[in-house]
Amino acid sequence: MLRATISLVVIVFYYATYLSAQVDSRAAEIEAARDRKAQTLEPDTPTPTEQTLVDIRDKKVIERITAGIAGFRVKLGGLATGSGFAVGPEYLRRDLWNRRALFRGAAQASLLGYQKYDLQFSVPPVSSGAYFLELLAFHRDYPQTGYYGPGPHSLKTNRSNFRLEDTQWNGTFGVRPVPHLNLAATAGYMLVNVGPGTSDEYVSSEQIFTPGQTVGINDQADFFRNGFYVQYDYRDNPGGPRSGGNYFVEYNNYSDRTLGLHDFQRLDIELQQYVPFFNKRRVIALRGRSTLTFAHDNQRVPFYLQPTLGGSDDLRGFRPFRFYDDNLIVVNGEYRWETFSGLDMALFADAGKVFPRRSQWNFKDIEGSVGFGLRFNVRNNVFLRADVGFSHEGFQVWIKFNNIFSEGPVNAPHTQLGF
Amino acid sequence: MLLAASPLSARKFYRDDPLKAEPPPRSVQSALSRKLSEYYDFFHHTLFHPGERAAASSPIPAQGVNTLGEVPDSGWYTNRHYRDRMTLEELARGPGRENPPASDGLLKVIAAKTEGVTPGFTIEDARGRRYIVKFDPRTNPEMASAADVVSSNFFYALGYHVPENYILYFQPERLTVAPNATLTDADGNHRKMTSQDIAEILLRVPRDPERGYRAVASLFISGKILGPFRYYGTRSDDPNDVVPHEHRRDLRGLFVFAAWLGHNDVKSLNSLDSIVEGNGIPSIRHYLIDFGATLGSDSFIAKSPRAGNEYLFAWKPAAAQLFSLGFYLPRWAGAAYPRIPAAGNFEWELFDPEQWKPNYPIPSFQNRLPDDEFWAAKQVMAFTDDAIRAIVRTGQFSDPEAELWIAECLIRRRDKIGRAYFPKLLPLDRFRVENGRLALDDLAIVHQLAPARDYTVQWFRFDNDAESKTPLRGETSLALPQAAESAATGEYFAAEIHAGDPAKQVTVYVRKQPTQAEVVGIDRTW
Repeated sequence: MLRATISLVVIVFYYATYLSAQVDSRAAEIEAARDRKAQTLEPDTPTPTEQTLVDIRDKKVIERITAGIAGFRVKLGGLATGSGFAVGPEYLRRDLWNRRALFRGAAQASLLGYQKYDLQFSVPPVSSGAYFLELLAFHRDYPQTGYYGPGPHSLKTNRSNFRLEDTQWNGTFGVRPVPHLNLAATAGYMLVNVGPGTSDEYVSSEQIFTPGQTVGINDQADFFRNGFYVQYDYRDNPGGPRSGGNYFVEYNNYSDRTLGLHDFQRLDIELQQYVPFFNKRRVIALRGRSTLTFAHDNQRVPFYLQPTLGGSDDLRGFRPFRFYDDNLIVVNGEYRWETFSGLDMALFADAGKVFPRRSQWNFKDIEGSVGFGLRFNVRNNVFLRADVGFSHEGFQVWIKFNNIFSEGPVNAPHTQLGF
Repeated sequence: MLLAASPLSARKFYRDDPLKAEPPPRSVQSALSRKLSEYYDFFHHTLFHPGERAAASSPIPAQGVNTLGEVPDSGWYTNRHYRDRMTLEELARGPGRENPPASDGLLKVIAAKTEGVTPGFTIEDARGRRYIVKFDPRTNPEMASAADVVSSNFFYALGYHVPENYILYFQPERLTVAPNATLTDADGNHRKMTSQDIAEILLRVPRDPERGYRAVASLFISGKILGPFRYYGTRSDDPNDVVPHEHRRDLRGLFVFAAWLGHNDVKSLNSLDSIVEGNGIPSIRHYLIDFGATLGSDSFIAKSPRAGNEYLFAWKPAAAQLFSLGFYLPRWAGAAYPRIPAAGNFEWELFDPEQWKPNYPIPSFQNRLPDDEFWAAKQVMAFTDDAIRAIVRTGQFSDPEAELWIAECLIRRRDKIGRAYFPKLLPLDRFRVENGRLALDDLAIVHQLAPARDYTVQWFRFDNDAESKTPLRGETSLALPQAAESAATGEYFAAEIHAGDPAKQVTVYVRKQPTQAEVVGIDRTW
C-alpha cells in the first residue's frame, strides 16, 4: 500500500533545515522557502555542452560551413564511386534574379587523383506551369575508372582501369505543365578522351582488351547529343519516400562529330514505386531500370557511353562498374521497416544484367545480389545510407549520402554517363 | 509523504489551509534570457535521467499542491474549468479573443523563417500588434493551424498559461516586407528580406481559392522573454521557483492532458518563461506554447502512428524491430485513420492513456503517481461532450467531417482516461460539509463509470500537532461525528473512507469553525 499525504508543506522540503520554528501559516512557510532561495540566486545557464549546441544553432555554424563565405564553401564527395575521398572549393549563389536562379562552380580532387570541374546555372521548377532551365558544363579526369571487359560474362579477375577524361556542355529547358509532371528538351556537346589507367594495383585496360573487344578504347571522339525526357514524380516525400512513384523516360541521340563511328540513340526508362503498409511503417520499394541503345548501321556504342552495372545504386553485391554493355536491365526490391524514428532498416535484392542485343531483354542469365542496409533520416529525409550487398563475387559495403534510387533527370545536374 | 512534512512543523494543517493561491510572488529582478538546445534536450532526456527520480518502491509525492491535493494558482497554473465550470462561450474564448490580427490593412512581415519544415513569418498588423504566423502543410490544409488553436484553448481551460492563437486568413496583397526586415536564410546568411522570400514561403503552403492563405497567428507573449523552462530542477534565478519541476503536480498531470490531446511534442522547447508585472511586482509566468503538433497533426505532416506510442528512440522497441526484421508489429502500426486531411492522423480506438508516450521521456511525467493522474483525469472528465465540441469548433474547419472526427476522438479518449485512472484509487472529490454531513462526489459514479456503491467510514479525532488519530467509536457514517458538535473551534476530525478495498482509501480532514466545519485536507492511498 502506498501512503501519500498531499500537502503544500512539501514544497519546502529542500529548505526544511533553514526554516524558522516561528512559521505559523502555509503562506509563511512558502515565504520562508522563497527567502532561502532568494539568498542563493544565480544566473540560470545551460551546461557548457548545451550552450555550445545553442551557439552552433543560433550562429548557424553548420549552415555557414555548408554555405561558406561570400558564396565560397567546401564541397565534399560527388565524384564517381571508387574515386576516394574528394574535396574542393565550390562557389554557390542562390540569390540571382531575385533568388529565382542558381549559379554554382566547383573544383574537386580526390585522394586517388580524380578531378572534376563544373559550372552550373539553373532556374529550377518551382510550381505548376513554371519553366525551368539548366546549363551545365564540366570537365572530369577520372584516371582509375574500373573496367572488367565487355558483356555480361566479363571476369572479375580481369579488373583493369582506364582514364576517362571528358568535357561536356549540357543544356536543358523544360516545363511543368501540371503538378508532378516535367517535360524537357536537352542538348549537349561532349569531348571524350580515354587513356591508360594510373592504378598501381590493376592493369591498364588497353593492355588486356583490344579495340575490337572494347569499342572506343583507343579513339578520341566528340559527340553532339540532343533529346528529351519526361518525368512524373508523385512520391510523398522525395527525401525519404514511403509512398507514390517516380517514373521517367529519357531519349537521346548521340552523334559522333569526330570519327563518325559512334552514332546511336539511347533510351533510358526507370520506374520506381513505393508500396507502403502498416501506416507507412513498412515500405516495399521497387525499382526497374533499363537502358537500351540503338546504334546506326556500322556504328558502335563506345564503351564509355555504355550503361554500366554494379555498385551502390544497382547491383550492390558487385564492384562499381562491374559490367558494361550496350543494354541494361536491372530491378531492385527493398523491404524497409522502421526501427525507430531516425532509422529504417532494409532487406534488399537486386537482379540485373547487361547484354549486347536488345533481343536479350529478359531475365535469363541475370546476376543477383542480396543484402541489408540502414537508412538514417532526420525528419523523414534520408541523410545517410549504409548497405552491405552479397553476391557470388563476395560482398560490398557502401556508405552513401543519398537514397538508393535516383531522383531522376529533373532533380539532378544532367549527364548520362554513369561515372 | 509525512516524513517530508514532519521536520518543518509540528502540525499537519495551518490556519490558512487549504491555500487556493500561492502568496504574491517575490519580485524577480535578475532573471536573464537564455536558450536551450533541442538536440541536447532530446539526448539528455533519452540517454540520461535528469532530475530527481523516484524508485518504484519509494515514490515521491507531488509537490506544489495544497492540502486538498489541488494546485494553487501561481505563475505556473490557474484553476479554471474544474474549479468553476466555464461556459461554452468562455471555453471557446480561451486565453482571449480581443487581439486578433486586424482584418484590414497591411500585414508587415518583420521576420521570416525560411529554413526548416514549418515555414512562417513574424508579422505586425495595422494596430502594431505582433504575431508569429505559421502555416499548414500542403498535404493537410487546416490541420496544424486548427490543432494549434484548439489545443491552446483546451490547455487554457485546463489551467495553463498559453498564448492567444487565432486563425488568420489573408490575401497575399496584404503582406508587405517591413523596411528594416532581415532574415537568416538556409545558408546562414543574414540579409535584407525581399518580397521573393515571402513568395517562396507562400509557394510551400496551401491556399484557399476564396479566402486566401490560412495560418495560425500567435500573439506575441508579453513581458520580457526568458526562454523555455525545464521539466526538472528549478530556475536558479527565480526566488519563487522553489519546487523541483519534476515534482510539480501541474507538470506531472500534464502527462494526462498531453495524452488526451495527442501532444507528443511536449518538451522544454515548447514552453516559454516571461517576466510579467502584476500589482507592480515583476515575476515569471510559465507558458506552454506551440501546439501545432497536437491532435492528428505533426505540424508539417500528419502524425505518424508511432507518435504517442513510442519514444523517438528507446532501446527495447528498437531492438525488437532490429532483430525481428520488422516482423514484430506493434499494435499501433495497424491504427486506422479516416481520410480527412484536416484531421490528420488522430484516433481513439488504439489510444491507451497508460501507455501513451511523448516524443522522449519527460522527468515530471516519469514521476507521476496515481494521485497526479487522478488530479488530471478528473479535469479531463469535466469536459462535457458539448464543451469539447465548442472548443473543437474554434479550429474553424472547413470540412465538417474533420470537426466531427476530432471531437469524437477527444470524447472517446476522455472516456478512456476516466476508465484508466479513476479505478486506480477511490475517485472521491469535491468534499464539503452540508447539513452536518460530509458530502462528496464519487467521480466514477458521476461519470457513469461505476454503479452506485456504499462506503465504509470511520471517524477519528485528529490531533493536528501530533498528527495522530483517535477512533471515535460508532461514528461510521458520513454524518459528522457527535463530538464535532461540541468541539472547540480549530479542532480537527478525520474520516477514513473506502468502498470495499481498504487499500484505496481517502482520508478527509475536517476543521471545526465557529459556524460550521470545513474540509481542510485529503489524503489518498492506493
